[in-house]
Amino acid sequence: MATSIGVLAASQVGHLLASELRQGPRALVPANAGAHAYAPTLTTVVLGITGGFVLAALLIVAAARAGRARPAPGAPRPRRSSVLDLVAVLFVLQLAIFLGQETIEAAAGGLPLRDAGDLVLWGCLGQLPVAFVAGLVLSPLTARLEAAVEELAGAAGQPLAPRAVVAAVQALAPARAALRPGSPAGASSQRGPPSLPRLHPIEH
Amino acid sequence: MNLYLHAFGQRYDLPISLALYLYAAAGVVVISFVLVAVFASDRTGARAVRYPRLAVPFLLALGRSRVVRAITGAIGVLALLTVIVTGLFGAQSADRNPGNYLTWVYFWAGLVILTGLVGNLWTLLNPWAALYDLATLGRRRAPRLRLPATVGVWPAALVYLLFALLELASGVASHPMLIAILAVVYSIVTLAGMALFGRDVWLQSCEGFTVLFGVIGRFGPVETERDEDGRLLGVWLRPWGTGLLQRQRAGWDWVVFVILMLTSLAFDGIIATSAWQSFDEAMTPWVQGLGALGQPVVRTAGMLLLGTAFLLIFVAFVRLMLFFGGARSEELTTVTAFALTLVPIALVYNAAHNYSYLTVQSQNLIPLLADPLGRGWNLLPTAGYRPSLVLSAVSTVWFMQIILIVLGHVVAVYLAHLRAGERFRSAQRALLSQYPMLVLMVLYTMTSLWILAQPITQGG
Repeated sequence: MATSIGVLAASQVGHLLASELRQGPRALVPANAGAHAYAPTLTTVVLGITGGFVLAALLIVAAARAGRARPAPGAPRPRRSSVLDLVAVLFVLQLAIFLGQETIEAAAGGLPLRDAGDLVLWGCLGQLPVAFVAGLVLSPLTARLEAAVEELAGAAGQPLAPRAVVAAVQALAPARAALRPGSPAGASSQRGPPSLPRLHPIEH
Repeated sequence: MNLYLHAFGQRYDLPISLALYLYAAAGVVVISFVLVAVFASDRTGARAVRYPRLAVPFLLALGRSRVVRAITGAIGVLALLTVIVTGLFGAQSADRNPGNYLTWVYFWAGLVILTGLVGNLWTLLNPWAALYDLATLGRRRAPRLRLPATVGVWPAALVYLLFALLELASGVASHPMLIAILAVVYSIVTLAGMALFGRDVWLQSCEGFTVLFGVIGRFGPVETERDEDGRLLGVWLRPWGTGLLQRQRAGWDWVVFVILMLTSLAFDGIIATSAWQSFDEAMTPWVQGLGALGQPVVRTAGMLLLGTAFLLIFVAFVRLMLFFGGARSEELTTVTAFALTLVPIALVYNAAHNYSYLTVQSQNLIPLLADPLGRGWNLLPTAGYRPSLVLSAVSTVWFMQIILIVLGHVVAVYLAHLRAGERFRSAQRALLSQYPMLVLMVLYTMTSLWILAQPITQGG
């Protein structure tokens, strides 16, 4: 989910960067009209949501740290996914979104589709730097977030789970045994698939 | 007047829409994938990358012969000297200077293709190795300095990048004197490097052309084996392309080198498209302050941008391959192994891109042999030679390009499939892993053909 939002936000920033580089400071002016009319709103909304996600992630990481007295010596650091892998995936997805977006914009605006080479060149120029920055930010953030979520979930679940679950299972076991006709109460502890009803040959 | 590397001077009206050609080429690649899956998908492990080879004693004797080495080395040194002497003292217009033809047509385009067709001829022709061997009388000397193993082939990749930028971005590639000066500087650096770090260590890590021809030579049908001192132990013949399945040390340096090969060739085509012209124009205001350096900076940035994009796209697709293949192996090993399967694409793209250049422009050297320094000499009776245009009809060029591009991608699909059989656990997993590769190959095929079509067609 976080990665999807990240990809969408990065692709919009890349879109904006490509427009800025192509048209200079006047990039945002035509963006407010015609096929690009939606662009400023979409970019703002997506960036706002991304900002919210980043803040929430940082709060979760902070909460996990606050609840932890001190990191155990020699405790493993959160495992990061490779930055290069992340950048590669982000870039490919961002470029695909950019190409799709430009195609839809052209179709919606009744404009001729821009040359494919032109789209790819500008797409690469806009999306590549953003993919690098997003990859560098997301790689450590997602690793820390995952570790923090695991830590918080572990801390919240530990005192509750074992006793309650064991008690519930023990309470249910005799009842289940009683429901099975002709089987002793202890049979429920046997492992393996349930036995099939035995068919006896009919005697004439 | 410039030496126009890929100029056709005429346009070709396609009998059908360009899009149909692109879809047809992609269709052939897809069909080849199906055929490979049906007929070559049952082998896994080391068996998947095993190939037949035939010992050739005649070639072994030829390769060991000092006479052959002396002759080929002398040819290499003579070519280098021609570039330097004609560059420094000859005509300074690119189309009247034999050094320019030797550098850009015969060496940079022709020798690469010949290496792919025949085998690594550079080991015989390398002028710097020949000069070093002459100076040391063929004895191996202990190196004075040690090159760290971590260096890998990064220096060679840098040399390759700089040479490609010289050709495509600098804007001075057709200045014979500059080329001559750079050849002198590079010769000094290479000879000093061999003397300090050891002949083979320097050549295999830092000499960009040795690494380039080594990679391309793997595609060729001649396989050699040497001992630690570089003595030839055996020579075999093998099917084309299979040498790329040999074991290779894993490293980003190799991956980047192969991607640079693809990038430089693709970029050479891209800068001839209208898309690049408009990109270049749009970037002009940003580099106005740089004056004459503006265009080289934009082109350098463009090539680096394209290279990075190629690398990231390739890495993303390898990740997909690992996902579908149920990754058994380390990622870097897999990335390196699959990067080498892209070499046939670089090779055929080179052949397709430089087709008319090799069949027509190369002939312009013949009349220059009569007067290599442009002094009005008449050393040979070749002054009146006129290039034959038999193979240069634009329609011939276009169809040759289609055949070459499709062939290269089909070979790449086949090699990648065999490699997948080696790297993934089962034949089914290997096949599954190749679907992303198929998508990548189809994209590459269509993009390559589109780029090649731009200068000679009116599109469709």
